[in-house]
Amino acid sequence: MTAGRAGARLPLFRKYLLAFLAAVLVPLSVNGASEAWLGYRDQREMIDARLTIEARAAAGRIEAFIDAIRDQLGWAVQLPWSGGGGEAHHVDALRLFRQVPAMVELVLADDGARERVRVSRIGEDVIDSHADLSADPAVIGLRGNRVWHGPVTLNRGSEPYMRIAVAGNRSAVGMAIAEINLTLIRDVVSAIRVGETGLAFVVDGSGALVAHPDISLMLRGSDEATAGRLQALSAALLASSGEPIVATDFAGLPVIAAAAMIDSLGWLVIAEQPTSEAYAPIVAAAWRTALLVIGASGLALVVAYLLARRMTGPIRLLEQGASEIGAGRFDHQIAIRTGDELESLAESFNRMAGDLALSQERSERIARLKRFLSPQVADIVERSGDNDLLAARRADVVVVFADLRGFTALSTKAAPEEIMRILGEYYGVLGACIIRNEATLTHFSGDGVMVLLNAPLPCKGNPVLAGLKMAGEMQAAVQELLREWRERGQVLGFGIGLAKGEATVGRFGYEERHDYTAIGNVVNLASRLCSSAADGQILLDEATARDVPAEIPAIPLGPRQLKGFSEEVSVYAI
Amino acid sequence: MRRRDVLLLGASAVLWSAGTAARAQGVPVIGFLSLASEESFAHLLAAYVESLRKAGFVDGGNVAIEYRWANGRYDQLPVLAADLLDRKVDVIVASGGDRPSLALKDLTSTVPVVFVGSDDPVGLGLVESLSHPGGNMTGGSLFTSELEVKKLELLSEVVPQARRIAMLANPGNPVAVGDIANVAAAARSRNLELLTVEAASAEEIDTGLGRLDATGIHGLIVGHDPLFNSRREQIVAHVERLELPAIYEHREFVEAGGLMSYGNDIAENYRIAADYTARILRGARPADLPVRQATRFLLTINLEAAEELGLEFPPLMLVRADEVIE
Repeated sequence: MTAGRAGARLPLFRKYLLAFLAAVLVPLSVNGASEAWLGYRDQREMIDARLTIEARAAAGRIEAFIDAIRDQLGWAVQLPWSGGGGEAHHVDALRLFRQVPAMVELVLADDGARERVRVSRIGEDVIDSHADLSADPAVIGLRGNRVWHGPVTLNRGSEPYMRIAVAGNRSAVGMAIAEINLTLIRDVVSAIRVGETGLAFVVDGSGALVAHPDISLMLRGSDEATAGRLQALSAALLASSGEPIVATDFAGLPVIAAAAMIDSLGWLVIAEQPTSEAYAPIVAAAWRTALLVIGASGLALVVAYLLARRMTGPIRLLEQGASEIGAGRFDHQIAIRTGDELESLAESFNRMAGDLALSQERSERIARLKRFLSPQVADIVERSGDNDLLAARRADVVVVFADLRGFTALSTKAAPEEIMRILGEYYGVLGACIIRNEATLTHFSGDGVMVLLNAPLPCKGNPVLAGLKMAGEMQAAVQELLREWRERGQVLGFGIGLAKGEATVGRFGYEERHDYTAIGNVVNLASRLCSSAADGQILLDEATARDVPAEIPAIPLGPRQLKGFSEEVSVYAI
Repeated sequence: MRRRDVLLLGASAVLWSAGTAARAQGVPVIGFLSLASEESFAHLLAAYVESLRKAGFVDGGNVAIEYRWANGRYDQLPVLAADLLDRKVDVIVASGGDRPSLALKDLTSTVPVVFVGSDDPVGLGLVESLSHPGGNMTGGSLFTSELEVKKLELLSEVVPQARRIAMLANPGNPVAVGDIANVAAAARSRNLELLTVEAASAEEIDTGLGRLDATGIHGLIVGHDPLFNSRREQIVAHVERLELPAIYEHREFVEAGGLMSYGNDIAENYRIAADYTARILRGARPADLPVRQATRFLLTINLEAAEELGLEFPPLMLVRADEVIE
């Protein structure tokens, strides 16, 4: 029983849980997913824009760095070489050196591409060596150009160096060729921070690293591992025509990279940020959603459990109540104070129990009444709702007594089963007559019955006529039975006595044992008339006979001495 | 065993216990091996410790440093190096030229070594190449040998009338022989006579410079050498006594009263060493860390010292000078 109940409770819990989970998780998940997608899109757009801006800004600063050197070199090519020696230009060259710390060496050449001044931070200064520089790529590069940028070379295979050459606006002023240590550009790219770990670096046209915030990468020269990655990255960025792309960094982790070109140098400035950092806010949001989903699921679980319990508790009470009521304990009250439909259901149950109790009480009462009243009368009495009809009073009644002749003799010799069968058939037909005629059976004993008319309910018509009609029917029906019994070898007779008169009627008895009966002379008279009636006879007294309508002949049988009556009584037969 | 050795061993014992305690706590240990003395290198050590702190390692906190100072005595270097290796330190910083690195090179090919200012890491076999050191050593490279000729040029500009120049060199320095040869060749091309004064210890500095006869000598080049760096007061005192125009390697000499110096910022090399020490403690391999080269060369001149010598710096020198001490 308990297992069954628990089993019955679980489906409800499961249903609630599924419903709540669906109600909670579907919108949360849809919201989380759409937020993640929109967040990803926005974040990607923002990162792309920022990386592009950083790359462009860095490109601008590096270009400005190189342009500043170029402009400084412009100062060294203003005085013509005609006449004076290198000494005058030596001071210019040293001043320039002081201005540009990144400059490692500076060569000033005259209009004939002859070296006139060479100053160095490491080697000796050389004045007026007149060395022929016409084969120098810088000199060749300056033909027809004001400025020449050399390729990035590695000093001692490590430090990136570059040469910049500038020609004066007149050929007479010659040219200046400077060697620049590019490790100092690192300060420019080191200043760039994209987010926490994002960075910018510079590669030249061949994909070799020119500048990187990590000096150790920058000094590694043409490292095969890094060169391959940088060449692929440069190619991919150039192919994407400025659109940021997703690539991998030196450690093989995914990054978003944007690039800006420095056209004058053919260098590419690349700004990159690890995707792990770029998408950290989205990942954090996803985690928040996940936590929310977990929390909401937990809440749904708890709410579903509480609701299910809130439901199953009253339902179990209702179940118990139903079985209590079913067992006939109508006073059982189902106590549910939930203030909702369940409470009103419980109230309905309680009301129903009360109604059932009333109904049962009534049917019990009817059953009791039916012991002596015909069902119709019993119904009327029951429906009238009071017991006044059954209260003791004096009334004009018709009393009918009937019994079998020769039954006492039969009962001593016949088998009990046969006696019971005869009595069963006998009472069967008598009962039908009594019920049909709405008469009241006051009692029966053995083969004798006493039937009352006009009490407790008055007859609709003449009570005597009603009594005679019933007596006639009884005679007819019993005579039929008598014939059958005679065929079975049982010879019996049946007589009826009927008398009308005043009697005290009412219920008599104790506790649940009550009978409705009449007490008075008329009862004795009817009984005695019955005793003196022969088989097939219906005997009346004189007073009753007077009430018999003229169309029914009442044959006077003359006065008879009846037991218990001092005077002879005029007897009539119908 | 001399008294000094006993003291050294005593100091080692104290340091040993400190290092052992640190190791017991699981804190990485840096061995700091220097040719110089603690007093003369205090400012450089401060630069190192400060940069290490900025890189996230605090001495006595999440890292312990065991110091071994040779106090200018080359013969102590192998002993101190072996001692550090016995202590199973995580990384060794080799300070004071190439001699400490060379001492370590003989003893280990596995324990990471960061050298501070090697003169020729490839030539001396410390690394395979500057960009890819390849072994257990990396660090900073000064290439100060190449500056010796530049120093001669600068000295000549200050004393253009000079005919005889002296050069103080340390035969204990592995690059000294080459340096002397280079300077001698440059001197010849300038029609200068070069007189070499050799000193491989504090005592020899005294005897060498003490024997120098100032008459007939017009200038002095003090060769680059960690021993000389650590004995700068002593050297400057001799030069002042001799009233010689002299050029030194580092501005520390000029601060101590020297006339002029041309070289790089040595403290910067200690900052680089700290950066590399931190990277190695975080798991980087010395083989992958390129040798850092000096990028800035500074000319420092002292106008007061010039005045005392009755000299005047020519305009070219004033243009060249990165720092002028008055």
